[in-house]
Formats: sequence, C-alpha cells, structure tokens
Amino acid sequence: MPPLVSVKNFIRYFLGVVIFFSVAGSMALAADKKLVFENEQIKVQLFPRSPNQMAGFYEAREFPKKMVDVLTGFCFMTAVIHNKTKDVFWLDLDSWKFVADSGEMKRVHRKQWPLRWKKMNIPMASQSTFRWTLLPEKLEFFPDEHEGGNVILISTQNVFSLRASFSVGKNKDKGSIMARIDNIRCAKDDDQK
Amino acid sequence: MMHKSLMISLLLLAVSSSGFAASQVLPKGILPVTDRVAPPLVLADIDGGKFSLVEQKGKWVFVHFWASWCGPCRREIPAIQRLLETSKNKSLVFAIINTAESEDTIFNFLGVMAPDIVPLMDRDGLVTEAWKPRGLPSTYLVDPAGVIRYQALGGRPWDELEYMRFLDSLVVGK
Repeated sequence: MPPLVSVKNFIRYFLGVVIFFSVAGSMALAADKKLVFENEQIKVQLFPRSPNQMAGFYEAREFPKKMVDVLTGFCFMTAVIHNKTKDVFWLDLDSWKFVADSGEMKRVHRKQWPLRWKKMNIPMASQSTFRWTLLPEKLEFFPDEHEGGNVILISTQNVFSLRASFSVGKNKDKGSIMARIDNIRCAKDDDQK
Repeated sequence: MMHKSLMISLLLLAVSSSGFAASQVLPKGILPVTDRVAPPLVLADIDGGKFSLVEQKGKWVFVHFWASWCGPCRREIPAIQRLLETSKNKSLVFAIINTAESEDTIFNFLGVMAPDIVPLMDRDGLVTEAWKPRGLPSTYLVDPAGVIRYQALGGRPWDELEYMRFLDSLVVGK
C-alpha cells in the first residue's frame, strides 16, 4: 500500500511541475531563435540550456550538489534530430563540429564523465540518469525516428556554428547529409529575464 | 483424411507459432530484432515484489524502460496504462522498468499518470545499461523462449488498435 502524499512529496511534485513548465517555456524561447536546420531529409534543432535550467533539472532529480556545481560550469545544448528519409542514417558526434571565429570548440565526450564521477563518489543512480540525458555518441536513425539529448561544450561567450554530417545507408555507403546551424550561443541565466 | 487434417493442423500451428506473420506490416516504429537473447533482468518492484525474466519463460514479455524526466516517456505512459487495463486477462507479461529514480519521484508521477503500473526499480541503472536501449523510452518484446523479437522506436501509442492487435497476435501465437 503506497503511503499518502507527504508535504515533502507535494513540494517536490510542485517544483517538478514548475521546472517542467519553465523548461518548456525556455524551449519555446529557443525555438523563437530558430536554431533549426531542416530540409527534406533531416531536421536538427538545438535548444541552449542555461546553468539555472540545468541545475533545476538535475536538482529535481536529486543529483548531489557537487555534481550539479560541476555541470553548471559547462555549456549545454539539447539536440533533437528527426530522420525524414526512407533510409537509415547515422549520428556520429565525431563528425559534429562546433566552430567559433576563434576555431573549433571543445565538446566533452561522454567517456570523460565516468572517471570524474567515480573520483567524486557520485551515486550510480545519478550517473545513470546523467548518461541517459546525453545525446548518444553514435546512433543509427531509422526512417521517421526522432531522438534527442544533451551535447556538452566548454562554455564560451562567443557566437558559434554547428556543422554536422550524417552518413546515409545501413553501411554508410549512400553519401551524407550535411546540416548547419549558425548564430548559436551558450545560454546564460540572464537570458531568461 | 485424418492425415490431411493433421497436416493442416500442423501448418496452422507453424503459422501461429511464428507470432506476427512475416507478410503482415508491423505497426509504425516496431522493428524486428534478430538473434538477441534478452539480457538478465531480475529486479524488485516498488511494492517489494521480485520479478525475474527467466521465470516468465513460456510467455511474451513487454519490457519497457522509462524515466519521469523524459518527455516522450511522459507522453507514452498513459497509453501503457490503457494497454494494461485492456490486457488484464491476457497472458502478456509487463515489465515496466524505471531507470534510476527514487520511489518518491516514481510514486508522485505514476500516481497521477498511470496508477495501475507497478514499476520495477532499476535503482542504480545497471539493468537498463545492460539492455543497451537506444534511448528512453524503449520497449522490447521478448518471446516465450527469452529472445528479443521486436523493439519499438521511442514512445508508441500502445493503446491504438493496430498496436493492440499486434500484441494480441503475439500472445495468441505463442
């Protein structure tokens, strides 16, 4: 028999709803900025997330403060990809380039996180949830499939572009799809004011 | 005559035991999986009961991974609730696995969205990791021999007729 909803749970639920709607609102804001590439083959959308948004999301998931403190120092982009073709194409983050005037920006590979979390004694549950919020490094997209997740960059004040390529075909032998999105910025907390 | 009837019976049995006939179009977003034995799955549910996939041999199992923070999961879970309501007397087994969330979070979410679901608790996320889903949500259909036969891409409207018919065809053909 599950317990009745306690005051603590009610507050958590309430905060979850508030965060959900604030994230949804900020997604609409990002969409207004049109960080989108779309043609007849693919749609790629980017939603920059501010440190406050990420902290709110991870704190609501009960991540340790020290983990949230680390994460909010980075630049988060939620990427959503839709395969509009009738064929398979491949996401490979190694072929995604985030480029500013000063050169190519550094992306944090998902392999870099586990060692860091281990040194910080981060609980497995938080590590697991964190992993599932990341965009996969490589993924075969089936026709009409949508998938999304976070890409993490070293934070910068600069404006930058994304140049991404996707190999087409089960065996990656049917050419590639190029996507480009310009005028991207890391979201700052005061963007929401 | 009897021999002929036996042949027809065997033929019908062969067709039905293959589950969904190969010539039929699968519902949108359902993909066949070949040669993948289901990874181990032994978890406690939120009420403390134990679930073991191995003990489900002889039945089709609907294995679903989700988390309350994932938008497509939030949209899909009411459809699974409705599927559960219509599947109560059928032999499809449900393993609805929450990935690495606390009991409070799950209870608050399911209490509103899907009160009939008794989720399995993958507290450290390691079972989910072993299954290597493409993302969350993810659904696998495991056959009575413990082999993954189908996977669903993302969230699916499981309570729609074509999906329910598809699931029925598996159970009937087991």
